[in-house]
Amino acid sequence: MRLIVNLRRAVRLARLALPITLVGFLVVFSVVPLRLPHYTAVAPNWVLAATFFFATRRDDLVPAWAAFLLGLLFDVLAGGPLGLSALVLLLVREAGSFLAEPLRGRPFLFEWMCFGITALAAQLLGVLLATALAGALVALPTVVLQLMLTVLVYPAMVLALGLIARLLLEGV
Amino acid sequence: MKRPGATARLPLPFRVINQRVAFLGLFAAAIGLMIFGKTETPVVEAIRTRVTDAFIPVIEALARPASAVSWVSDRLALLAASHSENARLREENHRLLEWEQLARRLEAENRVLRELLRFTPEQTATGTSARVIADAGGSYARSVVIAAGSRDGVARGQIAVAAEGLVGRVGDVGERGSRVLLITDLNSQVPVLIESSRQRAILAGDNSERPRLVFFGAGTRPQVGDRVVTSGHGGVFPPGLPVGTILGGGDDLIRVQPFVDLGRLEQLRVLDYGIQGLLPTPAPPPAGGPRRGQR
Repeated sequence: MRLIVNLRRAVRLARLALPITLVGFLVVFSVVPLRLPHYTAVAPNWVLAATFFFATRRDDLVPAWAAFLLGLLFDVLAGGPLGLSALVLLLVREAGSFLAEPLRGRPFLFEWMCFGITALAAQLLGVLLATALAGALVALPTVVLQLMLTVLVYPAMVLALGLIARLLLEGV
Repeated sequence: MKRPGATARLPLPFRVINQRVAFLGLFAAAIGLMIFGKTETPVVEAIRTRVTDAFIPVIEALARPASAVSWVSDRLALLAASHSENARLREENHRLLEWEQLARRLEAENRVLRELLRFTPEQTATGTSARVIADAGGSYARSVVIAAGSRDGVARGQIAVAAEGLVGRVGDVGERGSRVLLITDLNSQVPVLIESSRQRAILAGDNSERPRLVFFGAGTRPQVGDRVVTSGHGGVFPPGLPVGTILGGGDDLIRVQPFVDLGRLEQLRVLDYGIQGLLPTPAPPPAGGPRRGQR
């Protein structure tokens, strides 16, 4: 009996940790060499999209400290300036959390537009900070392409993550 | 998805204050980390390398299916283009045989001239081959992680090359893996030469696929298609490593197409030329073979 209770508790904890685990998986996936032509230069920011998705739906399952740590992990693995992605993800999580209420019951197009604006602001901030830290200007066409791809993949992310969340987070 | 009361143990006003304080604390911590990280202290480097080392098995496991798919698609593309590729290779082989004859003649001539001048050969490079296991895109950095670290003889400052030319320089070195800063990275600056005009310049990365050529001296403007090689100035890169070719650009903007496809790196060779950067260069050994003998 006790074993069953403990098992149920472990399953529940695992389900609660699902958003963090999924974003963590995307952090690692982002540094996996896919060797697709021109992909590396304009790879969409999967982590940003997933963080926004969960923050707008279940911000209690992606707390600020988790967004910070996941961003920090991304900085370490990707070799970027330490703290930059941590700050960007923290702000994206806050924006998502803030938008959760206004987005409830609204059409997906509105959510997509809000994500586009958030991603644009996050990308601008990241590029400004990276430029300031390196003392050299980041190539803007690359930044614009990456932003466009990130916004374009968002509906697919919503579809995939929405399905996982419906299957595993319902009732948790 | 229904919101539970799992995190709602505190009354609402306290919860909001708690969240605000946590957010501000983390915000300040991120800013602090950026400033601290910029100092490149050994602590930051140690944390980076340890965490990267710890994640290497996970990244490798995730990379395996991606590598398999990439291998199959490459083979299929090769198969589809095999007829035209064979014709191209036959023609290239013919041209290379002519170059080989010329190289042999020049090598013999060089040997005689060096003996006449009592020339001391430059230091021979020693090296390690390594697989690329992580390759981060994005707008903030351009680097790859290779599956070779300090236990394989890799050290900070060594030069990473592929068969076609220069890839970058080794940055952080862990026990099992090392990070190679690519020539396209925002922080990368490589002293180069335009091979035909011997004009000096700096190849500066900006996180795009094609780095910019800056600080080129007055005089003839580089022509589209000119080869760019490392100049060896500054003591970080050895001279003569192939880098890329000049592309067109605006009046003040000249870009270089690297010889190496930096987005599809699989294997790298990390070479130790014994270069100490801005530190005094050690005395060359009494004898040595060709400069790039290990490639």
